[in-house]
Amino acid sequence: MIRIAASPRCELDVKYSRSSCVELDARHCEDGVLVYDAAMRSTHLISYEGWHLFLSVSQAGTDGITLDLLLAPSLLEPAVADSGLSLIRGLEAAGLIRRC
Amino acid sequence: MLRLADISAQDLKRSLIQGTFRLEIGGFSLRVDSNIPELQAGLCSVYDYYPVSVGGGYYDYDLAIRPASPPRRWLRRNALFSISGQAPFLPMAAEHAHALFEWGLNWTIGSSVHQYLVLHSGVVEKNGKGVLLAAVSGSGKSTLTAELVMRDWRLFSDELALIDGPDLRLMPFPRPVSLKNQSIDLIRGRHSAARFGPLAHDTQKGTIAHLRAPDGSVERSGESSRPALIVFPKWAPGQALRVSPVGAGQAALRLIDQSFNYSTLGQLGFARLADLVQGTRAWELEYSSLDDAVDALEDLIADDA
Repeated sequence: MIRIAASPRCELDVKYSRSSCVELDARHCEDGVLVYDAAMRSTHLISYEGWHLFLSVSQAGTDGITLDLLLAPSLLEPAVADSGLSLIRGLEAAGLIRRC
Repeated sequence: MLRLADISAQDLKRSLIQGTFRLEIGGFSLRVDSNIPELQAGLCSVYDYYPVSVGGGYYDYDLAIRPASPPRRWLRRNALFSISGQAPFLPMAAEHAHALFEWGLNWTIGSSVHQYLVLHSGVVEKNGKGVLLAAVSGSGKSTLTAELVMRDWRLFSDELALIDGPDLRLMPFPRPVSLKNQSIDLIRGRHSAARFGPLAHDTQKGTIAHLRAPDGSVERSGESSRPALIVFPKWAPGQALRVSPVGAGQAALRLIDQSFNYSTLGQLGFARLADLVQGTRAWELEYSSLDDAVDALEDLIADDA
């Protein structure tokens, strides 16, 4: 289980796994990881925090990994840039991870 | 080598009408077919130093600027750009024929040379170091390019960066620099040696004029260069000069937005672009004074090891 944020007013336990058709080229830059998804032909710049989360999810195998998201209600909608939820949403939007 | 200035107006007119005129720009040979006098005048004013042929022969692109269909001709003298018989744009007034040729040529190259990664960017060079000036329209990119060129920087292009192969060589495509509205008088006022083609008034972009490319840049259009800097210029009236670094990842995303064929190239495009941003420092340059902007670029070039 990965703990994403530390404002324990609202808990979300959601299981994620790596998307099945992800085929990535990744380049490490000083301001994040530049990722090209060859299957989707899309390019993303992912923060290192997000990249490490993606690697954790990827290494968990097909069973996925449960993310214990501890978030203040104010962070749920809209997600703020630094919140754990926005990391998850960013990776989901990029098609790199999906809910099991 | 035959240059446009070497041939008579009569021979030029005949070869344009007969389709035997060839214009060499960078590594490309253009067949230009036209019976519109305004195009001939525009070519003579800003392409006079370019290699040409009037006897036909090989070409890469078949371009024509001809009057549009008879009903349109009846309404107003106009000109239609076509490539290989296909017309991608609506007709324009005949007096804008030269501007139409330049826009059509941008479109032609930007949409077809997929052997290169093509970015919407000015490219200049100093001391063997190539500088990409990548920005959206209206950011002052062409004005800054013109200023640098008038200060003896070598012109590759004011509009298209052609990036070749795994070595990321910048390929010259030196053409007249397109300036709009106040930028025309600004450059004219700062540089008495600046030579312009005909003014095109009341276009969609306002008044347009093309600054003739320096002879030296045309002569060296076979010499590629390495990219040393990526600069995102932004003209900000009244603001102090600001030069700030841009991370490689952010630079990549900005360049993707300015690319003509990144998505077409797929994985190869990513590899080229990632190599470019990882090997080339990127900066944002906000300026209100051309002198300050040039000084800043000179400093960045000098600092590049």
